[in-house]
Amino acid sequence: MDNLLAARSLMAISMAFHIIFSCIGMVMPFIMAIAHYKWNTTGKEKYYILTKTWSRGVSILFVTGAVSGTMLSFELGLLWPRFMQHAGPIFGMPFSLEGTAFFIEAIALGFYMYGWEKFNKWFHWFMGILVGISGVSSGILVVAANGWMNSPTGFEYNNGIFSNIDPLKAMMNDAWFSQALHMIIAAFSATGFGVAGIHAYHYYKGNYPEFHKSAFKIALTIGAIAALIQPISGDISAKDLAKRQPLKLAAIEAHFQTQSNAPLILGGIVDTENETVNYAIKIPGALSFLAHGNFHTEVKGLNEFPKDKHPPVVITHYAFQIMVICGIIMMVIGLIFLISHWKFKYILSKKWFLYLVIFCTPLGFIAVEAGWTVTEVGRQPWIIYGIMKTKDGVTQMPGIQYSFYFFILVYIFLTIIVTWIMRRQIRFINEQYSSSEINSSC
Amino acid sequence: MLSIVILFFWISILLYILLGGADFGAGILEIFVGNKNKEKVRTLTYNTIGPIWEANHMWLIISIVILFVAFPSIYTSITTYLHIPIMILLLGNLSRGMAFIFRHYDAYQDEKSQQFYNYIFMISSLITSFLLGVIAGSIVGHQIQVTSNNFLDTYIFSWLSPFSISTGILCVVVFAFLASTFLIGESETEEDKKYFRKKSLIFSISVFIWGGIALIIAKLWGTPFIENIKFISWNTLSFLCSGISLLFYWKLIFSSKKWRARFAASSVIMWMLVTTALFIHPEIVTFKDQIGHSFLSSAANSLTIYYLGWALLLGSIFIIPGVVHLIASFQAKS
Repeated sequence: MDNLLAARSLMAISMAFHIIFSCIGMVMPFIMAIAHYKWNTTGKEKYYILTKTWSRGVSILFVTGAVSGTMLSFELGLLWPRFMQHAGPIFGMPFSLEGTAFFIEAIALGFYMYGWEKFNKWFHWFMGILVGISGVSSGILVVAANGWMNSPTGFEYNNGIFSNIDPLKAMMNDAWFSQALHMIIAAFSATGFGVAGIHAYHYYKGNYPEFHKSAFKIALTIGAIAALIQPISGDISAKDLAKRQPLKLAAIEAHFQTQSNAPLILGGIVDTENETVNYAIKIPGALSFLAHGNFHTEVKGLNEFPKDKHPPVVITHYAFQIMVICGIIMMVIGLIFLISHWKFKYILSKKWFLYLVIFCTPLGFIAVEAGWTVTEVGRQPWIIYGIMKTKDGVTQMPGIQYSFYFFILVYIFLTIIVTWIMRRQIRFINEQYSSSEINSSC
Repeated sequence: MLSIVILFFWISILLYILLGGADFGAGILEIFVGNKNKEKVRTLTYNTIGPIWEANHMWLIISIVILFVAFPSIYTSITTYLHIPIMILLLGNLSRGMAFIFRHYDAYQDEKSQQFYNYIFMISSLITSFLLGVIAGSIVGHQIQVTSNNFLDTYIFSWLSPFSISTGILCVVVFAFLASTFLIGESETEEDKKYFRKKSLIFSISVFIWGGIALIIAKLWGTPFIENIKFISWNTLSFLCSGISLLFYWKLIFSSKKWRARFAASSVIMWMLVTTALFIHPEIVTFKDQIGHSFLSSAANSLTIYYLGWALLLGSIFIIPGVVHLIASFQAKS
């Protein structure tokens, strides 16, 4: 494994790990605040238990997100010093603002976690909301920094020298809005479905049903709404990509030849040698429509660009397909849930529906991982799109592969222990309350 | 604006040493107290440091962000040459944070898993503090070998040196000293107060001794800054201030006003930091046989500095009252 590949892999695994916890860290406070709101207004004990259980979960996952995020802020320099040397002053603005947002988040979480019965109940509730608001702000800011790598602006570049730097313009790059919007909605649907799936499982098992039913309902409502609006933001992203990074769009679609009336390719096996996709379903004109809003517009293919600037087509293409499939499934289930629950109020007790929701537990997170694979792998071979190649940014220190192997073990261990501890949280609740009587009316 | 950014950097570093240090120190203290007192330390730590520990560690992030936005050469030379200790530091930080949270939020408080978390927490507190000291020592102590061509000299002996190890130990002692001082004020019974007072006395003397040892090692291994000491200079003055604060501290820990002793302890550490900064001035990252980076030599373009300065100023409007209020809300009622 050469140094570049090792550094990329280490960065990828760190990000893949961190993104799960940052999604949960952004969204969970809101879900928790809904339960807390119900506790404040109705005084039903199950909401109190729910809020407390979720808040403990938030704490555990928040810390995992925070420490893995700290790792990333160092890894930028540990792995990509030659990139940071130039990029730091240009795209650092969102990071410096994120510092404040994250600080507020940590402070609010301190108030929230340790503030039960110490403060006014609405002040306490608001601290929970504040954790979520600052979490989402952090998320937007970090994605804006990534947006700059895709759509670098706010400087002039001549012969390897960056001049005339404007960090504010760099932060407000062309990609930040579409990327951040897509990411935030994805976080809501992934977390909503993830949490709903876990509670659906316990509800199905008959453990402390009122509790898990309420939990499941709150989380799935959030997830379903997010999953339903996500295609709109996906459309914005596609149109934006067609303008800014046509090469990435071509790789996503495995669209080898420039053509008008370009087809949308579903499934199939990509054959990069013959530049074709076999056994795929092709919807004529659909790609032209998605990219430009017109069935006949020409869409640029990979052939327009020199081969050494192509991103890995196979990975980008499949990752995109995986993301879309997960998104569509969640959308359909979300729609079923919203309509039937709102209209008939009976769907929650249907077994087949519970199966579906349980099946969906990891889908949102798979979609998030796949989506980031599209963004990051699709930007290759560039670290700053069109300006600096990834291989020119990597550290000069040899032997990064050992760090990579080591941290793989660390992340596997962490994944196991976090899963284990979260399971203990739920088992505890089930044991504690499965026999007790709690007056409830759902 | 540059001076504001530099000021913020030093304030963040200082607050990280003081608040983050007290937090690390609590873990170190757990190792150095007898079995029957371990639980006491844990409960006190949880009650007082629990709510703010996340915020404490944000100061490190703030200083890192300041470095990579405003002084990229400083940031990249640290992350390039001190890659290995930073990696281990990160791992330590990761395990420490998670162990701390797990032991309090684990639904089942059974002995076996609690013991496991405690063990991880103590070990990682110790290792992380030690490495922080090692890294700091390498940065200020002319240890980094940029001109060498072989792997060992550049990436290992840049931080694995007698001086860096001595600052590593110094850092451990300093953190334990801060934590024990902090816990005096949080103890509820007179007996506990007495106990932590004794601990903090021992650690304060250790700080004094290890500070001296680090200086002697610096002298023996020919670290340049020692050669440049003049008897009458700013750094001798700030060194004296540190000593005087220590004398005050020894008097104040017997007073019943907990904040006085804390401020005296913080003042000891602050003046130690000032002395170090003056020793290496104007450099920040020092290299072996080579001129290092100073803030001025590595500053980014003025517009970046300008915006960063404003971001920090605006940020502090939110952060400082928040942190103060948070600390105040969870103080033991005395």
